[in-house]
Amino acid sequence: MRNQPIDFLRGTLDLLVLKTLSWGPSHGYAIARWIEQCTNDAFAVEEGSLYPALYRLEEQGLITADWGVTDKNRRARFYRLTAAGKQELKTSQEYWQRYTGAVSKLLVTSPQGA
Amino acid sequence: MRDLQGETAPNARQAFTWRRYLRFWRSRVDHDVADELQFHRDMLIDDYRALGMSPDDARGAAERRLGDLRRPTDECVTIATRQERRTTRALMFDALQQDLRYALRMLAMRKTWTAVAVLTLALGIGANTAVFSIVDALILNPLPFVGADRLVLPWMQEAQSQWKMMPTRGVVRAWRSSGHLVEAIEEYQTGRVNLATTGDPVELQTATIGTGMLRFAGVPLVMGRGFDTSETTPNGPPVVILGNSLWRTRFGGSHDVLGKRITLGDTPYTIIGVASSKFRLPALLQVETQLWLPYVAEKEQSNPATIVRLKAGVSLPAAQAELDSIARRPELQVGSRLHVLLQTPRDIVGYRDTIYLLTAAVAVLLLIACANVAHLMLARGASREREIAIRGALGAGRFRIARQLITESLVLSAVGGVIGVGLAVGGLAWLESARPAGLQLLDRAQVDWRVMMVALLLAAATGMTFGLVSAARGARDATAGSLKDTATSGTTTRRHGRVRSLLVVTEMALSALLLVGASLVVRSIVKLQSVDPGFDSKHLYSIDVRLPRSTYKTSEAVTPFMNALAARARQLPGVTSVADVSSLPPNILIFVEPLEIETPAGPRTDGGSSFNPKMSVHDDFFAKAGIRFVEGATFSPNAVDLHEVIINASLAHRLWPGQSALGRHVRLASSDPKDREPWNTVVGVTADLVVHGLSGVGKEGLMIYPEKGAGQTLAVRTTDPATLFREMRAAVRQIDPSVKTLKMTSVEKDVADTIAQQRFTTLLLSGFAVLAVALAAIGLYGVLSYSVAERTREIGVRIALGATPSNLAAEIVRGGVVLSAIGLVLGLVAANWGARLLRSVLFSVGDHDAASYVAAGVLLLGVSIIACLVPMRRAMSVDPVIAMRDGADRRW
Repeated sequence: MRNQPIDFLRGTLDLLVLKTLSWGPSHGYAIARWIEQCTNDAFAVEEGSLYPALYRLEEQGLITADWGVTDKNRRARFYRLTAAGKQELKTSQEYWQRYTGAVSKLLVTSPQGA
Repeated sequence: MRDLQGETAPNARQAFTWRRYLRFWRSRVDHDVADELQFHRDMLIDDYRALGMSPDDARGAAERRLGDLRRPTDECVTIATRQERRTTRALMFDALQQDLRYALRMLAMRKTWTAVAVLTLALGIGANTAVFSIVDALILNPLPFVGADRLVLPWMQEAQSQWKMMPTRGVVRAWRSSGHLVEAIEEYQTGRVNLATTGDPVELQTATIGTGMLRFAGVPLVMGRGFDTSETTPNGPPVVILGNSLWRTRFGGSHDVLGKRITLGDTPYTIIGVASSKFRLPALLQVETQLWLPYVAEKEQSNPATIVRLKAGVSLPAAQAELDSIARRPELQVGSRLHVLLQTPRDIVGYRDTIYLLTAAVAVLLLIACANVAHLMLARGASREREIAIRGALGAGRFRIARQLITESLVLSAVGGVIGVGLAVGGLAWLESARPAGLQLLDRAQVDWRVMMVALLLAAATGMTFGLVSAARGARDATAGSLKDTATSGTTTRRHGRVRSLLVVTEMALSALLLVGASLVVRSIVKLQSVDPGFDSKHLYSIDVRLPRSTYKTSEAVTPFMNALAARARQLPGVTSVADVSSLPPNILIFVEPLEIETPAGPRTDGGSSFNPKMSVHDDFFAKAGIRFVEGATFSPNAVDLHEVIINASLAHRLWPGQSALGRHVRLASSDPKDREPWNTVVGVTADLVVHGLSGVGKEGLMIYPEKGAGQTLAVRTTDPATLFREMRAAVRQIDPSVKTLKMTSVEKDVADTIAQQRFTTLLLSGFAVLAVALAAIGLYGVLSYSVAERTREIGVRIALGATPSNLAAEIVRGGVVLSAIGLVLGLVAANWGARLLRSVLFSVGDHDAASYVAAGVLLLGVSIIACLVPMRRAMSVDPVIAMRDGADRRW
């Protein structure tokens, strides 16, 4: 169980993508690798969910995309955080921290009656 | 995996390049998505190879990891497509908004210019909109029945005289029973009835219809039901269906009228339904039927009108041939001169020629307006060259500039269109008040959404027309590098000059066309109005009593009534003479029998029309009516026994050309020898007088018989018609209360009304012509004065160099006049060809009437000379120094 990748909770992927892009523009492949790397491969980013998520975020105006060239001289689509995206990241981050804080607090508390 | 290394396969790379070019033309989101995923796949493969896998293994591992990407791909494409569409729309909207804002700013900057252009367009579009709404109501959709394109109205027509009559009931029965091409056939009859009210009786327009007419028309009732078979029998219950306007005006559109009673004559009728305003009959196209009554064949006195719906796909000639061959059956006793004529509802629309004429006239008007605005654009275009050149230099493409200019044109014409529709609404209201009594259908002409659409299309087409012209020029200017001082450039002037010359020629030609048409019509109406009616209609009134045939069968019964009425009339103040006659002009009765005359070789049938107008009068009528005799004199005291007859000059000329008619014998040639009259002896020939209308004077023959008893029409000459009408009504009620119908009119007005259509046409056409000439004059003046003003500098130089003003003036005016003359000649030639359209509305004015052409030519030439002279005088009065310095900037 320990080494099994964790399934994403709803909305988590969007938050992780925004967080990743807050370090700078990046293409889809790099985003996926970055998330896996930062979490020590705890999250398995599936391409089948990543790309629709990217397009959705783009449609919502949180990120924009442009074709560019990688350092290996390959054409790739680079995503970048917009102002609205930065704002959204801030809000989601705070929400997420409150949420996880509350959940962890509950999990560490021992049952009183039993 | 962090190390992103390796190379893509060469073929994949090529695919990228190729797609990139494809995208250059238009962005393809599905390709973008595929490219992006391919990049991801390539990166994965690279990573696997970096871990030491063989290329094949690496590819396999990548595929396994990615799995089936079809659904996510579709999802991405959907999202991206949606987003792209939204972006494109926003961009387009942005550009449009920008263009519009710029256009409005440009137009607002030159208020006078814009006002002139908008007003010109509004006049053109407004006139067209108003006339189209008339065309729409009267011609495009005259009878809104089901299968309206298969409806025909059969007549029996005499080829020679073009007179036509209703088919007999026998013929209609035969058509119904054996016409294979006929789908349905319905009879109806129109009439009038008095509605009993507390005040004066109100005469209503009625129509009787059979049980099948409503189904035939396919126009449902507003409420209630149609007639059933029990109601179309002679003693059926008295029921009535209300006409829509009567229901609305007299019953306030109330929904509980069904079952109520309405008294017509003496009889109360039960209301069983309310008809739709769309339900009209061909014979009453021009007026709305106010009451619908059951058609009872046994009660009708004359042949009913019929309307036929042909089976689908039957051609008019085929139907005509079949109906004609049925009518030819010997037992139906149709005269050999008569044949079946089928008309469509459109054919019987009154004023059809007038309407076509007006349509042509307003179309010409719109063209003139277009030419004017095109010139305005051009004149302004010249002063905008610099602006456009600057925009071009700043990177605006040809297309961008063209789009801007077209936007401006469309904005201009849209504003013009809106005002034009306003003008059309106002114009129709005015027409409604000025229309002749017979043209009641005009109330159906209204500016509805269909008319609005047409106005919109007109405005758009107009805007595009002159917009494209200026756009084509603007785009050229943008690339012609005309940033240099265009004011001194001779080539621009010459180029504009050519277009401007074309405009002068066009405007002249179009105005000449309209002006000739208008002056032909005006001259025609002047001649018509001066036609001698042949009798003195001043202060003459017709009292038409329609005695019920049931009680007044014979002349013995009629005479006492009429004598009593005449005696009463004679006592009234203001009355100078009273005569009883069978009928009065312009409502003379017609008999459908050919005439025959006695010759040494026996009776000979007259070759003229077999529709012969006939009236009977007493011997003193001629003196009372002021009718002149050309030959002979009035009847002798025992004219009836002597079979005397008086004919008019036209008939005398037709029967005995070049000879005296006195003493000669003539009679109606009945097909049945038993009914044949004895020979009548001509004792007098009168001057031609109005029989049915002023335009027929000199063409229509008239037989006048001596009256045996008393005619049912009183001709009363009085200076006090109000008293006459009031007293006559009271007298009729006193002598016999059962007589309900009494029609009193002014004969003078009746005669004048016979040319109401011509008067109306003249009014409208000359109105349009005045408008057109005004527009053309403004346009010509603008074009010519602009081109003179443009030469102010040149004029200044030449005066400074010693040119005499008179030489200069002659040269400049010559230039303008030559152009105008070319246009004028073209216009007159076109008018000469187009005037054939007018033939049916012209009266004793040939369509090649020289005076009209000369008048139009002189007027227009005068306008163009003035248009040259005025700006030239201004140009010459300018100090040469000033003229040379800034003359070229004198633009509008």
